[in-house]
Amino acid sequence: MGANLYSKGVLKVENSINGDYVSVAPPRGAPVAYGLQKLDASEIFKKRQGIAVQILESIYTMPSLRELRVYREGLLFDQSYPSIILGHILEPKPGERVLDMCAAPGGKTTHVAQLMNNKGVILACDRSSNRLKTLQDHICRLGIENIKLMNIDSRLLADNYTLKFDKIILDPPCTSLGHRPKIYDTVEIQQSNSLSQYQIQLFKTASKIIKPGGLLTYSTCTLPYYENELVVQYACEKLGFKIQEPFFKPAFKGEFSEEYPDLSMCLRFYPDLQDTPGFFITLLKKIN
Amino acid sequence: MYGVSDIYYAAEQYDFTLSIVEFFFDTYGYKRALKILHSLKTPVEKYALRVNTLKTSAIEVKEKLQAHGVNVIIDKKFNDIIYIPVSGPNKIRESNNIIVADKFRR
Repeated sequence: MGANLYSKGVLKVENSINGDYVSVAPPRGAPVAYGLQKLDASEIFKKRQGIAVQILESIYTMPSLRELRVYREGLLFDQSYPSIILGHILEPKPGERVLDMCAAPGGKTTHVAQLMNNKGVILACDRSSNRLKTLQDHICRLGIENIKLMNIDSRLLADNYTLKFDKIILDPPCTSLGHRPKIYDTVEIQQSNSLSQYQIQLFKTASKIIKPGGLLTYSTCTLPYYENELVVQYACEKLGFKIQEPFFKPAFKGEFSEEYPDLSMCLRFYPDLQDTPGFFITLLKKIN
Repeated sequence: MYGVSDIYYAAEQYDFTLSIVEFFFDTYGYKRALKILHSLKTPVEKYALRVNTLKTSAIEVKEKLQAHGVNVIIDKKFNDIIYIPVSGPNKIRESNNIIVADKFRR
């Protein structure tokens, strides 16, 4: 949306060279931008860094924030409205011990650090070392001091550590069907069903390492109920969690609320009804 | 009610898989599902950003962005959320030289 195209995002260069005017297109569909190529194909694919195309015209435009000083100085983080709301709903307090089970690239983790005023500890785990490097860069840029990074599949945390946490952020990998704009998507609904099993495995670990009475936010940026209400329902029925009413309800209630009234306390952000991505948030307490 | 041809047509038009389109039709009904698919093709009108209150305030960031000609709206409830309007859709020139990209990322 108006930002330049960096080499990392380039999949294919057809015949053009440095200095040519080019159209930028997704793998499927019509071009979304027009600009000036700044590197030859060999440089783009060899170095994988730097601006590949200086965008001159774009179908949707907004300022290139990452190139502004306010961004480089760490005054801003690029984060969707529901994702920011999640941090407020968790209400982290200075001095608490918080776990983020799938932390990278770090929007929610760094927000929680901010709300804790850099006091207390956040253990930010992710199984991707590359994505943790991105998180480390954000931590430095934002001036965060209370995040510890751990490169681990969070499902293994309970096997290897005895730590207990006051609060947990569980924002697992999902089918991401709520992203906007989404030019195309190849996800099948069966993948949503399969991913829900992985999400439940993470929830099982969370249930072992959260303190009794501790709070957990479960969230996804997708729409199918397999990865949302059904996962939360499992956590309530099998893992000793109870859904909590958030202090602020800027979204719609969960699906299946008529059959299971507690699901009405879930937050559903619908892209056709709100000016947000599709998103799901639930606040839960560990009861037993 | 909808038929198989409606699923094929919507999957083609919005470039989602048949199974996802069918799931949306079953879950939300035909008309609502089309609205959801349509909304997913467009960006939000107001792009949210989080202000790092460890270093600054929404008012200070607003002033700094306005100095660059950027229009900024401050959230009414939370002091760490601001919005920037997204403009479009715009007409763009086209070239025969195509660069294929998965997304605009660093």
